[in-house]
Amino acid sequence: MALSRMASGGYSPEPLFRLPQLSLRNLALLVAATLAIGLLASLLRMSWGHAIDPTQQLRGLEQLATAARLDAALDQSFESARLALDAEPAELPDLVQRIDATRQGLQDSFTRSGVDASVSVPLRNYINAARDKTAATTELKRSLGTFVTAFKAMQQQGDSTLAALQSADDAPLRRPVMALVSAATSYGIQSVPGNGADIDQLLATIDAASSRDHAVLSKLTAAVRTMRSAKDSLQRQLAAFRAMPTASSLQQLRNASLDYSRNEELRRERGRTMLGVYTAALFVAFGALALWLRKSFSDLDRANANLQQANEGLEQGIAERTRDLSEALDNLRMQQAQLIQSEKMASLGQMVAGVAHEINTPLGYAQSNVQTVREVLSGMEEPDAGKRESLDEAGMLLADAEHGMERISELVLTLKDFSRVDRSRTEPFNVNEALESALKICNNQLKGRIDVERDYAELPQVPCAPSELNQVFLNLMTNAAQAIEGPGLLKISTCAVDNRVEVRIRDNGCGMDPDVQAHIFEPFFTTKPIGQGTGLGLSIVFRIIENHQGQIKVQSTPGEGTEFLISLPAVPKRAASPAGSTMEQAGS
Amino acid sequence: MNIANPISKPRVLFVDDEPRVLVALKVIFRDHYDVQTATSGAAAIEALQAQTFDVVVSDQRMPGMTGIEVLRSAKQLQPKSMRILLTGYSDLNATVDAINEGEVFRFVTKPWSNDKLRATLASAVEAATTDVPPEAAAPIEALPDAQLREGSQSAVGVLVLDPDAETRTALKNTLGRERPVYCAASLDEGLGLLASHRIGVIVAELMLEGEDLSLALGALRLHDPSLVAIVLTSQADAQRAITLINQSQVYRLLRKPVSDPLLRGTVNLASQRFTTLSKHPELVRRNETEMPAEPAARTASIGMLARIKRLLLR
Repeated sequence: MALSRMASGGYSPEPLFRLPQLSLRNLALLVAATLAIGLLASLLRMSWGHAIDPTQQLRGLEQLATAARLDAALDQSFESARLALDAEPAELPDLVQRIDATRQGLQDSFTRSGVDASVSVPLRNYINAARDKTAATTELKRSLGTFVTAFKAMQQQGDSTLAALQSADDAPLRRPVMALVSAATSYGIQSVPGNGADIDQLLATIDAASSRDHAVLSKLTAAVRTMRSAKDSLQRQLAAFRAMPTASSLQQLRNASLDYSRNEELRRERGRTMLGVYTAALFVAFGALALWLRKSFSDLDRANANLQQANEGLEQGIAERTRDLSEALDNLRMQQAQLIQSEKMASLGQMVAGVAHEINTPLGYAQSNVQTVREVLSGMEEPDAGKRESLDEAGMLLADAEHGMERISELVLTLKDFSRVDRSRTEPFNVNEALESALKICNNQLKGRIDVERDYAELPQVPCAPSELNQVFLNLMTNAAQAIEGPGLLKISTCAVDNRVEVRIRDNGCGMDPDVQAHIFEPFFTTKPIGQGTGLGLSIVFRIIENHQGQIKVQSTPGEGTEFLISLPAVPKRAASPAGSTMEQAGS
Repeated sequence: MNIANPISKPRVLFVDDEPRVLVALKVIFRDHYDVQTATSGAAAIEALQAQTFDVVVSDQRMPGMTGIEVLRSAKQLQPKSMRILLTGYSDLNATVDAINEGEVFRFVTKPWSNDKLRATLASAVEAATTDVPPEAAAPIEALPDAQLREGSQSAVGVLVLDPDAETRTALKNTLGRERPVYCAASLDEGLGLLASHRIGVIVAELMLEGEDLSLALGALRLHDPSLVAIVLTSQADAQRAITLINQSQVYRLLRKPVSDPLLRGTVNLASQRFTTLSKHPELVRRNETEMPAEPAARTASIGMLARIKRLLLR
């Protein structure tokens, strides 16, 4: 139990997650991550944001085409009006209005689609040019009106001149006048008249032919000249009008617009490519990161497994060490118990040695003297009757003294036998004698209180250390005597079973419950109050019996008593039997 | 009892640090012997230097000098005298020394029985008054080397009696160069060898498969009193050692492991002793054993004797 508690409480689990510490490395990683995300966002914006609406673009292009068309129509309208000799182009107000609308529309659509300077500058150029051109129409209209008036006046003058030249003498004049009128007409009609020299020659001819002051003719030439100058002025204005840069600026605008959208498209294409590359790079980075993570996780797993294994090993090691330690402790206790035991026996032996010598010396001369005195008394001459009685009495008293001294001598012998300090460790031994010897030693614990019932069988000898076996029996008898309160019975029986000797020591004392029985052979286990028992007695008994290859069992019922059963191997029969049989033969 | 001439009485020296013991002993023995006493080892040696004694009886535990030391001095000063240890308690060393150094005749424990002590002293005096040839009486340590070598050349057979095969082989290797060595694992085997060979020295292990060797040795000596016994043991025991003195009169008790030179020297001495005993059979009285007192042991001894006789006659 202590073991499992130790194992589970041995370490506290690591927190699974921990706030990253703001180290320089982590900071760099954070910045790198931010940069990567920023780059991604900008790339996304570059490729997807700012998209050009194709319909918007188409409409812009249509508007540009319309503007070009209207511009051409404006140019054409003045040409047509001149040819038709209209004082003013009939569609002009409508055209101007539409040009303004288109211009406005262009401005709106381009401004809305948010263009850069490459588009906005040509746009502004065109708008200015268009405004100038529409403004120029007023002047042009007036010039056109002047020319038409002059042309009509010239034709009228020609008709009237020809009518005036009906006379014969004027006949030579008729042909140049007609040629002049025709030339002037074509001059007025042709967009690029090439007959100006013809007109000048005809005018000179007419002037020369009418040397006389001819009023009609002069009127005609004046009208032709007026028409010619009006025409030239108109032609100049038309050329200037046509040369106004609307068409070119429109073209520029269109090109700029197309360039812009193409550039934009290219830019986005580039952005997408970059995004793709970047995404691929990111994927590679993520893959690497994932691999790294996987590797670090597997490393972690392995480290974890190792740790667990090490932990298990440690636990096992601890368990083994604990077992070893407790074994060592048990051994130590056992050795301590044995040491105490052997010390006890050694000091008992020394004491017995001293006591025996000290007692035997006075006992020696006392006993000898008593014997001598008795011999002297018995060797005396036949005394008279009075002395005879006292002599008999003295003899009796001396016999008693001798008896007493024999008792003392016997006790010393028993003590010597018991301690066996002068004996070898192992020798064949009669267990019955050992039991008797032990009974004699603990006699005063039993005397008068506990009856001893002996049931000894004929026993083979047991090879043993007699002093140890004596100690066993004495311990068991002392325990029995202590278990009995008041009068009781101690039953000691022996028997020989299968070349083993069995000894039963049974008391009718207080007994033990199974819990106590389970522990009685453990060192330092005692039921006596602290200080009254070492708890070593029965553990020593157990160890001694074990050393003799014997067995000891206990059977006890609380309130009824306890029985110890000791079984010891006897001397092998092989060596003992021949001598025995010979002895029998010799005896008979 | 008529004590006409006190000088002619055998002279006995009692040594004990307790004067009352000396008084008691003097009372018992003064009628038959010329009893001298000493209360210390030093006084005893003085007395030994001044007079000759037939028997020296000493206590073991005394202040200044132990009984063994007194008896060893007595052996050197008066080899002819018999030595008895009378002690209240004996440890193992004392008994082993009593055999090997004191060569004591008896080891008697206190308290003693007057009758038994009388008998013991009587047999000691008897042995002491036997004529002793000078070469046998001299302490063997004092014998010149040449004599020892001569003794060893007499080729006295040695019987090694040990249940352990390794020990037998080792002993045979150690002793085999100078004399015939016969090995036996059991007493029966050994008896067979004794019957068929001339064997004068027995080197035996004390614990012979649970049999009591001291009884067997005593019995063998009853049959052939000149046999010299050396007992080897790893399990020395004071009580057994006393029995070996009183009932077997073993020559030496050696504790295993025994060094080779010591063993060879001891066997040489034993061979020498056997030769002397063979030449002067009357000397055997000096090693007379007492019969076991207890009836059971006596029976066992007689049984053993019967067995030996049966084996020898076979």
